[in-house]
Amino acid sequence: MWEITITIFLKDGVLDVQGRAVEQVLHSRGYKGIQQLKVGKCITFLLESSTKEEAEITVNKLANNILVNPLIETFKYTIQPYSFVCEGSK
Amino acid sequence: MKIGIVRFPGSNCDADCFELITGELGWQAVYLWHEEKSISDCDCVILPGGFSFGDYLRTGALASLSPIMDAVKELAKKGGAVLGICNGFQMLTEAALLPGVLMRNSSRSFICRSVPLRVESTETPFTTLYSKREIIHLPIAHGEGRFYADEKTCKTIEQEGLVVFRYAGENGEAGEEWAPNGSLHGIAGIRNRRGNVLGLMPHPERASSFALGNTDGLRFWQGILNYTLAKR
Repeated sequence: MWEITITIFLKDGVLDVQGRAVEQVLHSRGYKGIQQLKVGKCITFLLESSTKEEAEITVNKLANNILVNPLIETFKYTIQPYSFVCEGSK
Repeated sequence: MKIGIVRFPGSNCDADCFELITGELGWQAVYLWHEEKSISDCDCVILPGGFSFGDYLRTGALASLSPIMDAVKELAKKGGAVLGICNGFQMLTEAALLPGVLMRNSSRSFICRSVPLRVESTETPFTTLYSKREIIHLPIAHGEGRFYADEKTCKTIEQEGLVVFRYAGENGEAGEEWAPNGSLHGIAGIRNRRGNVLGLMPHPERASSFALGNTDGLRFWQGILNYTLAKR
């Protein structure tokens, strides 16, 4: 089992109105040094796969065809083995 | 002629279309649930406005993956008329039946008002009864109606005459400066190359009744009827 986290942002050059709104509010609150603020989204899920390589193929397929619109968005992902921790075992 | 109106969870302009077609116009229409795999014998399918799937992930994205969309694509391939209104336009771009994407309005606000539009193409069943460069008024009601496409796609859209409606001024001028939502090139609606698929952000179904005081949208429906009868 693998734990996948995909972060998605609008591409450079595509107007991010939400990012601009947040940046403007931060500037008005005195945080003048902030630039190029983007608001993106983060999608995380568990994926059953016997190998990491196969898991990555699935992640890329999902990202490129459904979770991300490649016309306007870019993405990065992390993949790590999932280990279930039982609270009572601590 | 039979018109199918698809209902997704969150669609809210389906009833306006249904009441107009069956009530005012007296034609045949059926609702199609998004999980159905067939559009029966519908000559035309409408993807109505609303907030399908709560606009989750991306507006229109989840709806575009609904089982019914395979049948809609099949109808489009066979030359049947497909009309995407507002959220429906968003679905058509996510389903790659039309190019580009609809994004959050540049003003960040939800805009709800009647706007002038210039008719740019009469080469669709829906606009065949309009005149090129005619100014009509249709209501818009959206928060994510800003049309965007990369430079290459935009160039293709313009060169191939795929723009059907452009946001305009009252005196015939049109373009990005007239788009209340910041749409690239002032694009309000586009068609596919064949002309049988049209997506637009404005609502023609809300401008097709004498009682509501605006009938600029009426010719949409007469156009579809003529197209369907001519195909038989």
